[in-house]
Amino acid sequence: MSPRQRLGVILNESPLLGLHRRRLGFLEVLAQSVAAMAPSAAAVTIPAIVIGLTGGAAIWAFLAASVIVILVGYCVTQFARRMASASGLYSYTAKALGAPAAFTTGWSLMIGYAGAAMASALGGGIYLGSLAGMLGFDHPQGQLTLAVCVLLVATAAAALMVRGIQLSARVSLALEVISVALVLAILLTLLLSVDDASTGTLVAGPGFDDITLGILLAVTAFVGFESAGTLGAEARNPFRAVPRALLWTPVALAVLYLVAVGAQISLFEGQPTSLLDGGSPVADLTRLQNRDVLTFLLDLGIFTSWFACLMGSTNALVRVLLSMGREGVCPAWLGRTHRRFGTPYVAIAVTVPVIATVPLVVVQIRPSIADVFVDLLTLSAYGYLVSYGLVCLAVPIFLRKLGELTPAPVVVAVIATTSIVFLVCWTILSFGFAHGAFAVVYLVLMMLGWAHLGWLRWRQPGVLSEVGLYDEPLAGDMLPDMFPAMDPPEQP
Amino acid sequence: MSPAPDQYLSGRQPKAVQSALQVLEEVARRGAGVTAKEVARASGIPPATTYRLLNILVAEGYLVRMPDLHGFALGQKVGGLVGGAAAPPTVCHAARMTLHDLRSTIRFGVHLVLYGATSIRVADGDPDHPFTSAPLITRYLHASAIGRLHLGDQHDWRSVWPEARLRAATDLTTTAPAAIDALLRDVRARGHATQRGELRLDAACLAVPVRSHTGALVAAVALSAPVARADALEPLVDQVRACAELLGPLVS
Repeated sequence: MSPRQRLGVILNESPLLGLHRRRLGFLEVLAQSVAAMAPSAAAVTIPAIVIGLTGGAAIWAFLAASVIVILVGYCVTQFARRMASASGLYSYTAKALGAPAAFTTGWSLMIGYAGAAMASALGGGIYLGSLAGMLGFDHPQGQLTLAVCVLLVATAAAALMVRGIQLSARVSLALEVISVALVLAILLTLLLSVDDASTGTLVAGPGFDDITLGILLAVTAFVGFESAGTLGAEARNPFRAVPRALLWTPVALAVLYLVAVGAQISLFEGQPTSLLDGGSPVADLTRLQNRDVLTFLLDLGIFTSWFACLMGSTNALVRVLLSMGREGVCPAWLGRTHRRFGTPYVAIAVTVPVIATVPLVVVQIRPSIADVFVDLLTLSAYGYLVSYGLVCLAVPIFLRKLGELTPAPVVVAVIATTSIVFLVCWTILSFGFAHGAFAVVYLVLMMLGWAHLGWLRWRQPGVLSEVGLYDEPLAGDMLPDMFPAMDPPEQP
Repeated sequence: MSPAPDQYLSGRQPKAVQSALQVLEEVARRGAGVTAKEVARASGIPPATTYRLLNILVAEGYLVRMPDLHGFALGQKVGGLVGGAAAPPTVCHAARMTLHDLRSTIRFGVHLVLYGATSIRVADGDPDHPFTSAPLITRYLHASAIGRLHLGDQHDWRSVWPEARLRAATDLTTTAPAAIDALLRDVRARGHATQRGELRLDAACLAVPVRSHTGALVAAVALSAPVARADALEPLVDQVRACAELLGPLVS
């Protein structure tokens, strides 16, 4: 074997050159995480499903999910404090578990982001149509209208994303503030009008299986929070802003969800149980009560949330693709950035059309739109959860490699990994996790990824050693030319 | 809501500030590439605290985590504390002309490097042959010709470069302590240091000391060449030494 260079030379230019380095403030990084979670859309849909399963115990399911996600967040910060990445969990696992595991994480995470983005494009399209209808735009209900709305939403999102990460982050932040405020205000209004005579129609004494599934579904309300990790290169102070966003988003959103769950438990008490089976029970509740203004505002809130989520998930997705393009794991043109806007515009131009068309095709096959949502979100949840499990597993190995191993992160990582593995396995074994077919779709997509990995291994083995590219410190970041002090001068 | 100013920091946690400064000092003293474990051991601060402080100092830009993620170096912000100290050093016109004359007769990179109290600084890099990054040299003093001159000049090289730091930059790097002993004896006997492929696989280097009138090592004239042309460096040593002698009074 020929001799090889053991350690990297210090570079003068970032391997992620082309992205606008060190621009985003803390709020903009936070906005990325929040947007990718679509908190208001999640707060009015997921609690209803969990309440349908577990009744009043839903609040405990959400509490347990919050704890798990906060622990995962803590695990991810172990990496985010030490490396500024543009591909989040993908490059994090690369530093601990090596190329194949990192590729698995990255591929799975991309399935997560793509699934969430597709559901968001569909959701955005549906709510845009419904808003237009309520505003009096007379349009035929049907597939064509839906397609036009979805394409409008996707085009607007793509334009904002190409124009700049700062712009799309700020728009997301504003939209999320509006939508969370709207949803909270509406829940409060509905709560105030609840009559006390609760008839206790909710499930009482749910079984262990139901609770486990409830927790898993509640965890999916948080997925996307880790996407702040993809802004490491672009954050002004990545080692402060990214970990802070990763720790605080789950905590803040846990509070929002617990409030929303509490409110909805009281709201759905005494309502016909069929209400909980619909796609969006809160909206149905407002319709049931003939509150047109509330319905409109709620739809507006959910529309903005989906729109922000489309941008958040896609922004994260294209940054993983950009990193893979730069490494050679994916075609190099995916790594191209816009000269003026500093965004991966080629990756955006390739992914957004796919994100917009796939849900429109699936809508043709599936009987109802609610099913399509569940399909896409289930697929996406698998993607996220598998990559969470892997990244938590990577924590102790990463810290040991750096020689910075301490007990606390190991304990947290073990708890987080075990709970995720347990949740996923238990629910697959006992339920087939909502839609068993989608576990198969997920596996097929993963196998496509592994096939690509195998091909790389066979044809371009050198590429795999590049995996895990991140925004390294440059020669310009360090004080030049330090070396150890010489013998201390003799004291007279 | 922001906390009231007096809640924010009472100034009554001197221990935290002292420990942070101690960590910073330790990195400065041990040079680029020092690991978290080494800092913890040397400072006597508990490991978990040391790691947290290191991460805070990195987040604030006072330290930098090196590209392999293991080691630390002082960040650009430290330079800001001392004003112009981080600006590139300059040398007088006469010294520059001397180097220019040498460059016009040699086809390899010719660099003038100054030895400071705690650093090496490129005073006059060859415009046509970019200088290997200085942080790389300071991380692998034992593997670079410039570093070997410095180590050879010490009473006991282990006092500035513990054996634990004899890490390999490439597969060709000499890392055995006994081999380093022999190598530095050779540097002292011959009056110059060489290296081929030990720092970067593709580069070889020859360094000749520039000494002040008291004999102290103040600078080095370094030649760099592609490793394939390494054999062409040695015959040039007398010519380089003549230049270094001219430079002595000009840079000290």
